[in-house]
Amino acid sequence: MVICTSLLCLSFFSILFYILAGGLKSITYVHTEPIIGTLLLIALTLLISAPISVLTAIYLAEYSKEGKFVTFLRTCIDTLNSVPSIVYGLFGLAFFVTFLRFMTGGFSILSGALTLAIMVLPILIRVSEQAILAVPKEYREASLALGATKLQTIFRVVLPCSFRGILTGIILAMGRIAGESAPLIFTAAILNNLMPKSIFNPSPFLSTNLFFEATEGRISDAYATALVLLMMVLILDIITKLLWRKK
Amino acid sequence: MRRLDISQLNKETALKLLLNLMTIFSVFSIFFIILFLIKESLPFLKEKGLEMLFVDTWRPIAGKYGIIPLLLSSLLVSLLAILISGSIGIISATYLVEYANKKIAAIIRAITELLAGIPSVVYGFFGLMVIVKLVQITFDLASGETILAGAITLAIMTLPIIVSVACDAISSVPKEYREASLALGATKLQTIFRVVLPCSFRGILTGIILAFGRAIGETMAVVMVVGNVAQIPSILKPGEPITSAILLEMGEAAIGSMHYHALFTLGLILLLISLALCLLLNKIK
Amino acid sequence: MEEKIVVRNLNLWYGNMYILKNISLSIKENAITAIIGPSGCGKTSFIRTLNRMVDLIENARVSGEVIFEGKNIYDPDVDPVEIRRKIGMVFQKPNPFPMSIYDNVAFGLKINGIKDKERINKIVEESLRLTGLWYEVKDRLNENASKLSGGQQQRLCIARAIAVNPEVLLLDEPCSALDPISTDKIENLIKELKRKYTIVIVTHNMQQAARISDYTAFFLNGQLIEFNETKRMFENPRDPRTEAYITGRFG
Repeated sequence: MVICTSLLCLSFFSILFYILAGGLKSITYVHTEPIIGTLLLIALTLLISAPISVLTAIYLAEYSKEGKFVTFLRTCIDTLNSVPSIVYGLFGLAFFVTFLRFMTGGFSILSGALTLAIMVLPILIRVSEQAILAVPKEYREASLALGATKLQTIFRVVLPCSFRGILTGIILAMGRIAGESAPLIFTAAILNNLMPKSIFNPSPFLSTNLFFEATEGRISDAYATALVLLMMVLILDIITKLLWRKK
Repeated sequence: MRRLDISQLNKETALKLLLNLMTIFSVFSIFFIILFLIKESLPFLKEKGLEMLFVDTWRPIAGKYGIIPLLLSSLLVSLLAILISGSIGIISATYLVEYANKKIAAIIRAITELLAGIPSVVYGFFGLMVIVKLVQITFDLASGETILAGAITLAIMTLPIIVSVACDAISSVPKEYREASLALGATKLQTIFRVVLPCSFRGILTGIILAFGRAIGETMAVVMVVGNVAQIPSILKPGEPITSAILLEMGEAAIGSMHYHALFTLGLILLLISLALCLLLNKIK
Repeated sequence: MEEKIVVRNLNLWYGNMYILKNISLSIKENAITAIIGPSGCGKTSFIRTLNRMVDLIENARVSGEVIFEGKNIYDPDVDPVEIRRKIGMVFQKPNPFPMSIYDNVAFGLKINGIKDKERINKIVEESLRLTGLWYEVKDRLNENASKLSGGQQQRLCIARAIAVNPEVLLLDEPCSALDPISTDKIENLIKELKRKYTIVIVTHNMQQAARISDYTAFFLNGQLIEFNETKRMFENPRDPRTEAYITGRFG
């Protein structure tokens, strides 16, 4: 039994150290372009997804009544979670890259961001909803008793109060966005390390670069990319956990 | 009585409308995705739909679109992965909940959660560099890129899900059952196997199905290690799961060609499998 | 009457809390010994020392002796699992396994390696008959035990315990979660069972102790204040604290 558990820990540490070791050796192979690409992607995706998610969460938490209808709504949203990432890639390709080419510039960071925005919707909605529901009803009552409307209460009292929870969700989503590769290969990623000209152009990303470099045999590049990506995601994850615990 | 501010009222109505709109958007996304996939798969389905199931090779260049080898590869690699991670996961979870010191257990669970956040490309890279080599050496093969390598990589990736869910399921077995069993003279091991595990069965099953769903839908972790030869799979030979096929071949398929639509059909099938598993999960709960 | 279990200078600590203070008494064979006392006096802890269930509590420490079958059960070379097969326990809240009625009673047999189906069937039926459940459940042995009423569940737990043929039965407030009618049934059952088993019963209900037990031990703050034949203790208590408790002045 102990062997199994140690296998578990072993795998984590071996992955960690393996990439750390390899990455540090090849630290000079780090390129800045994919890092910029990934950061732009994260920012754009969240810009699109966060408002939609928070507003949906407000609706679910404050306005909907428990019952079959709401359960149906939640199920629809949660189902987005079980869609494989490559299917998101296909959808992004068919809809954002091809169908909406005139709006997104075709193969571009924007297409990628739109695709990933849908992907992170369920996580952001759930975390935001939890954060909103966690606001004690005493605050709402106090606000309403002072003559504020429901909407004013939500935007002036509930949202600021649930801010930390929502932030936790956003940081969690950041980690996920940075790690996604398949959807980007179909919508936004290029192989060469060229700085993206605008969001209407494609770009390299850390995640996609790792795939291309590994499969093309550019091992040193791959190690460096893996190191940066892994560190980024782990740091975001640890921040999320710390924020969660403080709540 | 306060005089209602007209502009305030307009703002309220506008905002409420926005709320409803956003919710509708979130809810309808899934339907939209399904619809679009169907739209892009239809041309293939209409012309070669049936052939898909009965032709036994997948070679689009030659016009052969048999999905059986791809489907079997997906199933084999995922089942094997779950076999590995399921056993290790359940045993680890049992140890963590029933035997381990609380502090150590908490640390290990935290490590497991971090493992869950590692991007799948990184798993793929690790698999390519380490697991593939290990398989090659252990089994004396020309190349380690095999179904087995894919399964091991996926197993490591799905371990956290199983451990997490199993731990929750086992801890939620009421201590009264354990006490009753011990008071009857059962050993701790007997109590675990005859009372605790059967009791937590449903929860553990949920974890396994979740993990299976992730494994079968996974692309990056598997495409780098599995060899990608579209043939009827066997454990020590390369195979090509559905996800890999879609990823690797989309670059070659011209938009609007039959190959293009065939790949979308593959995606549709994958989506349907995932949705079916989702439904199964809800039924179990 | 023979002494089944002899307790000598038993002390129990949970970490730094001193729970049982120098307890000495003897449990007589084929008799019902009741343990009474106010809440928190250590009765449940005491009964759990008799079958080494205290081992399950994290920082529990025991000193002294509990002699059963000629040996101190706390000797390092004694297997607690063996002890628990011979000294069974029924808990305050009925806790049947989430299995069928049949499987519940058969559980103890299966873990002891008994595989012969005929034999298991026989023992299951005997145990259920002894607890008066047989006619109520014989046609639905495969039903889940949770469908039974509280009183039936507790009788099922007793049947489960006696199926392994223990020598001693420890009952920890077995009726406190039940209604008066079930309580009555179980009290009669206990009186029947003493013919085959030695019984120790913890109860906060003095009238119950007076009704069914042969010997009574009165605990207060972890100490054994008085131990005597039930009749004598209730009619003529030696210690003023015992008298105060029995006459209801506290507890």
